[in-house]
Amino acid sequence: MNIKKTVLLEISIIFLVLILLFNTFGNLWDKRIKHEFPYGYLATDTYQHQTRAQWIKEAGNYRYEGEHYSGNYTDVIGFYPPIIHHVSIILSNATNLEVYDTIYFFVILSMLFGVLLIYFIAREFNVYLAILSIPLVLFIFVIKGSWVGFLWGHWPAVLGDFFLLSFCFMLSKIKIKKSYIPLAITLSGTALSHTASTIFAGFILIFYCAMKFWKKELNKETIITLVKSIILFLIISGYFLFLFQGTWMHAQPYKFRITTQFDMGGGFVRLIDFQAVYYIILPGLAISTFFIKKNNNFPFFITLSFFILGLTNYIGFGSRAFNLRFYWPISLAISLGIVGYLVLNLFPKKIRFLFAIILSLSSIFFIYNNYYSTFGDGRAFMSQELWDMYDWIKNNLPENANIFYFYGDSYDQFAHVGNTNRLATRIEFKDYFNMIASNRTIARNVKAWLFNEHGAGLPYKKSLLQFGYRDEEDKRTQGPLDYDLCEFKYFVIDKLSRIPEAMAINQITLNKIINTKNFEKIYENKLSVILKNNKQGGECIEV
Amino acid sequence: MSVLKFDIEFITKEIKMLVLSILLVFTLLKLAFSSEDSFVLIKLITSLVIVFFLPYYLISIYWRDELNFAIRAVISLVIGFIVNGILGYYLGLLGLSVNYNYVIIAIIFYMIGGYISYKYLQNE
Repeated sequence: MNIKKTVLLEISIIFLVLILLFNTFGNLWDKRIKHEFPYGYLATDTYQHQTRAQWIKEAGNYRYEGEHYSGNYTDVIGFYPPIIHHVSIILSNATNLEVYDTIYFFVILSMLFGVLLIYFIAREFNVYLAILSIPLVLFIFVIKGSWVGFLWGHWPAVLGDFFLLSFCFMLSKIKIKKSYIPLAITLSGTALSHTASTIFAGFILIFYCAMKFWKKELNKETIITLVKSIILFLIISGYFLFLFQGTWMHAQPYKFRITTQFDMGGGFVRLIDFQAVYYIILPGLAISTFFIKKNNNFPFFITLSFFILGLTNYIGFGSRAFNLRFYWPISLAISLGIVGYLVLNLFPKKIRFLFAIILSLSSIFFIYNNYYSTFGDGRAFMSQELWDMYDWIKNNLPENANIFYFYGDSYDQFAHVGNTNRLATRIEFKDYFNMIASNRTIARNVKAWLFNEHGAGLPYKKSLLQFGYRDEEDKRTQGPLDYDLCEFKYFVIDKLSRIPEAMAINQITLNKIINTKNFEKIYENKLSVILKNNKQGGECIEV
Repeated sequence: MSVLKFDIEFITKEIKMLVLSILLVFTLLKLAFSSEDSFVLIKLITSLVIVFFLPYYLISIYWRDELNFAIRAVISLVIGFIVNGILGYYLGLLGLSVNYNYVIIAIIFYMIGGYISYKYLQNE
């Protein structure tokens, strides 16, 4: 078979895999790129990133966090790894698409490029391995522990994995001229997208040097390149690493923790999740260890490194190890390919390429046919009515308004309220339901949560090198606490609910509030009503 | 004295592959997002190419003898994302709004890329 035909077949296989992945996401996105409101946002974390990016776009910079999700503090320093937000803002400005579309598109695009990278990494060994490895990536949208990374908003983690894979790819190209520059840039990509990935990059570098040393290939040039890349990395990432140690490292310091539970939602990838394919990739991983000795061993080194580091939850890395497993359908792909490659060697050389194509297509068909499914309604817990209400609040209520939310089906996953750019306090649901069920009314003092993103302790600069933490100084940010309802000026009450009892409870509340005659309806749509308290501190519940 | 001439054969081949890649991406997007207006997709692809890809692709010509087109293309976009994300962040901290500073970033990297490609697209 001539080279042109070979390349064409290769492109066709890659294209088929990419279209299957992209199409799955396309279905969730209603086959559109541009939406009237956030689409496919299946968990609160997705909104956390979207609202932060929107805030940065409106502020023009990321010096500080938005006060509306920082307990009303204006000095909380921008602490989140910023690449995802800035890329999505730039893409939004360049395309006129909304940030809620571009941020999600960027995450999915990075996944597709991750697939291309693993293909190129496998191709370092040979084209057969690449073609036979690629079908495993389809498990991204099969295994819940993997797709939650993309659809539930573990976006910094999956971007960190992507840049880590990019860094590994550049490591495979360490012999090219000035390779320290792309090495340093990709390593910086890990630090400013998900800093835990930088730690894993450090381990991969140690493994790499150990492997090179063992094979007596660790020469002066390699060491100099690595040192140069680390120096350049520190120059690029230094400021953010300084912020990181003063914020995240303070709020969530490393603790030696052996765990088999992922406490961030959605579960994690286990080898058994690859179902029947598990019985191929398990021996594939074992076989990969033998190929480490070969000259062209980098693909096996990558697969084994991602596999071993993904198991570090058993030696004290806690749930960070699971973050790396989001990418296992991509990073372990070579363990599938190597088994197929060994089978392929049983056939005459002349028909190997053709057989590799057939085997790869069969694997794609098998995985797609047996395990693949599409995702449901991409609107999830966002609706046109909810979005319209948020938009109205953002454009009509005073900037310092603190809005009180009663029960709503969508308010359990509450980060989307950040789209109002206003402080939000949400009633504690269980307490609320119990109160109405037992007394048929609501008390003036209720338990509620002040919405805020206090994951890094709401840090602020005390001096040039010293941080303070609003989270430790102000207990409101941790909730739930007792609040006097009547002190709030604006109430949001949902009229519709999937739970009939909840709808009835909200109706009771609405009547009790309206009957005081101290309120006026300032906004209403099919879903919600917004009431304005004209007598703050006065009577707000009919006794 | 040696006369510098552009490597037309290489440039033609690269342009062909660039155009083909863009067409493939467009087809991919059109298939996955079939209800979307083609104009939106074209605008999206154009923005990705102009802001995140082309400047870094021009720089990647420095490695034309060591890396093939496909690898350079993928790495260019990865680097483009990182550079825009990081510089956009730092320039924002320095007071240049993130809503505009990507233009400055693009200009800087087009200049670097232009210089590198000018230098390395020539045959002695």
